[in-house]
Amino acid sequence: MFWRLVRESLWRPRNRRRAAWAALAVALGTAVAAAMLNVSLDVGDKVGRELRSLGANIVLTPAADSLPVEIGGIDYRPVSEGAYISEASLGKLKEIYWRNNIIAFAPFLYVPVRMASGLIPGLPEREQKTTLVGTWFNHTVVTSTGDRHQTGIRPLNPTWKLEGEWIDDSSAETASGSCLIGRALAEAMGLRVGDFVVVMLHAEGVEESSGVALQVRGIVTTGGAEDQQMFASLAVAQSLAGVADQVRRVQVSALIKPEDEFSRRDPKTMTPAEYDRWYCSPYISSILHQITAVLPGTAARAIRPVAETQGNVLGKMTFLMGMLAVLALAAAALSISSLASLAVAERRQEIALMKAIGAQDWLVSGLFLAEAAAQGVVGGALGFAAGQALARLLGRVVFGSDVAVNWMLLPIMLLVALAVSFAGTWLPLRRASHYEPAAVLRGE
Amino acid sequence: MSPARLFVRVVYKAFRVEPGRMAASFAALAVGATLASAFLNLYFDLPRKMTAEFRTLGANLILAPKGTNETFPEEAYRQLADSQPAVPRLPWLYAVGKTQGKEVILAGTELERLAALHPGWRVTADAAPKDSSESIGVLVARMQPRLSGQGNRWLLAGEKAAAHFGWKAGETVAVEYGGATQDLPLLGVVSTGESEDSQLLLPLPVLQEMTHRAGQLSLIALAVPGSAEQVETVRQQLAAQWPQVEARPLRPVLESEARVILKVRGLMFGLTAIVLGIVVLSVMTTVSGLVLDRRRDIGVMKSLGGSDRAISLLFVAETLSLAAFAALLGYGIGFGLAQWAAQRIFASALPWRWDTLPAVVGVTLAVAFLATALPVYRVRRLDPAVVLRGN
Repeated sequence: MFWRLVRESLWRPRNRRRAAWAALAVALGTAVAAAMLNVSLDVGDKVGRELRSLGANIVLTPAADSLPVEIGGIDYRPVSEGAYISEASLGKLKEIYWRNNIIAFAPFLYVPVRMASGLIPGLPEREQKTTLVGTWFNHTVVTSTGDRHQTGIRPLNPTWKLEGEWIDDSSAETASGSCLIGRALAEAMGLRVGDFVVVMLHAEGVEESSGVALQVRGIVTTGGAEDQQMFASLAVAQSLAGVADQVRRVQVSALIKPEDEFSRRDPKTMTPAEYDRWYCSPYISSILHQITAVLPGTAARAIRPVAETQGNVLGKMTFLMGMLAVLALAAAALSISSLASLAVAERRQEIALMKAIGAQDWLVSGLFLAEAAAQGVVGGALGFAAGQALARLLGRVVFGSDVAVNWMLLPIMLLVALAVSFAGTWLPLRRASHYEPAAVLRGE
Repeated sequence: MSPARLFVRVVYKAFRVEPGRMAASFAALAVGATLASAFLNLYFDLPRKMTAEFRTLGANLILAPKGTNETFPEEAYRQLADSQPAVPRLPWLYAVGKTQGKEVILAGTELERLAALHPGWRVTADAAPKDSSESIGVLVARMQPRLSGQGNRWLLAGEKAAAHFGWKAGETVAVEYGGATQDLPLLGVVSTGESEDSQLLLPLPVLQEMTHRAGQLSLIALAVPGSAEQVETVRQQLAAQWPQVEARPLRPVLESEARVILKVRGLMFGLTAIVLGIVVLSVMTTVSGLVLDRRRDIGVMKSLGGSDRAISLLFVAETLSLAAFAALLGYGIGFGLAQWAAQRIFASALPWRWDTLPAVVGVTLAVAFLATALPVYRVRRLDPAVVLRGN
């Protein structure tokens, strides 16, 4: 009897439309809340990837080093001074716990050189002191487990503007004999893409070293100190400086979680459970800790302005989106429950009639709550699907990549939809139970 | 009965007889207006607030000598103060000097301007207890009287350099360049996370004197407020003003800023559109429901001789007046919410905007109008006899 009543009030042609409207209202509310929650859960990752364009946020240097002679991130020490990091060990960066958050990294070797242009006969030879930076452009790193990763300064610095072409350093042949020149240096020397230059090691005590001829493949514009430098593959720089397998520093770009009270604590004072939580969160401090663990003898430091800006922007975006999602959820809940209570109020006569022929209050309530449950579940499921579609659309239009489907949200959204429909139905039902059937049925 | 009195009576009765219905419609309209107002207010101010976040990165425009010159005249820096007084600026002169027989970068600059460009730098000063650092602005404010007493002589050591030489704040450090030696009091140890960590920072005039480069600078760092276009405008002005100086925008800073702002704008636009769309739909269903449920009223009015025009007008006027109140209330609440969010997230106030108010009120009224006019139009075509006979 009970189920027949429920079925009829949902499915009889007369009632079908009303039930569908109610479910649709639930679906609309759920859709907007689900879309907002989905976006807000994923926005950290998405904006984090955008902020990658700031370049590296971690720098590795040898732990026991002499004092760097450094301006604007460029080391001016002669190659004979200071300590180095082994190039061969860098694959380990992709073996830490948060390896997937290490987006790109590149080693750097700074070689003070004298550069001469003037291979063309007839033109006066011009010479200039500069720094040759040996690095990876787009290099394949192989980890000890055999995984391969493409990394280098191209993925590390997506904002560098290049006139000409990048150097292909996937093999030694294609990379040797090529270089990139900073914009300011190129202008000072009157160099163009395709010109040849000769570089010689510039060091005290070395009178005349043999030069290396390099062809300018591209001109780099960054606005920073790189505009005054020249870049060649790491192998070229190492053979010029005579330091095989050595690099001066490594820059790393990692996706990080904004700092909070917890991450600022000293890991040494944490309980084992807290330490695990800290270790398993991509805070910059825990990533630094893990890098130092796999590369002993190196000091990993955050490039603070970059890391701080990334953390700030990320934290603010996540909070903002979370707040807007809660706002949308609250508004959706309000409108769903007001619609649900309207539906009950409208059926006062029905309630009065049922009571008049002897139905108990609990039976009436059960009937209406069962209806609300059906509408909540159907509407919630529909709304979840529509919300996912909206979030995906938004992700694709704004960020050019899909927002991950978060299945954790499905039970949550269903529960919320159910709870809201129940709440909306429950209050008017309480009131309805005080009705005097005779009064309701007589009046109109 | 005059039309105005009739109107007031109908509205009054509607509230008396079915307060729940009217309240539900009012609530739906007000919630809609609240969401629209909160989202719109945030949408318009968010890019500016986000841009400000990028100022922790420091400079976004660099003035450097052109060609092979290592320095350029300080003249440009002084003129800059006159032509762009609002732009935070910082002069730098670099030299490779020596201290305790080891090579170190000496960086001459102005202490009191450091904080404006590098708000994130932390200094551990002599008076402070161990392991406590303060921002550079606080330190400068605290040290100002003492500094002017000492003829503005100070030295800041980068933390790598301080650790390397084993210095503590408060010591006197001898720095030399060429043949000249200067004894400077170590004001504090600065932690920057950048190249300055291994440099020694000292007053610009002192370094200029030591290196015999009076009135010369290596570069000027500028933090131009605003978007990439504003930076470009300033860059062009500067380039035209001093042909001997090169103005270079820092691409990573500007481009990331532009990207994030673009995405934030897009995201907010999308979310605002979704929320508005759904709010419109739900307000429509609620308000239309209200009208459809009063089919009998319409039937009675028609059978009593009410003209179609008068009936439509009555209902439309009723919901519009409801919507106007709801829109004003909603706008206020929504602005309050947006204001709270701005204070909580960005710690800066949201300016009161007059242009979003008409937008919110207009949208709410338009939705209310459509939500009423369509069902009324449909109902009034029905024969009153059919409507009144009941369903």
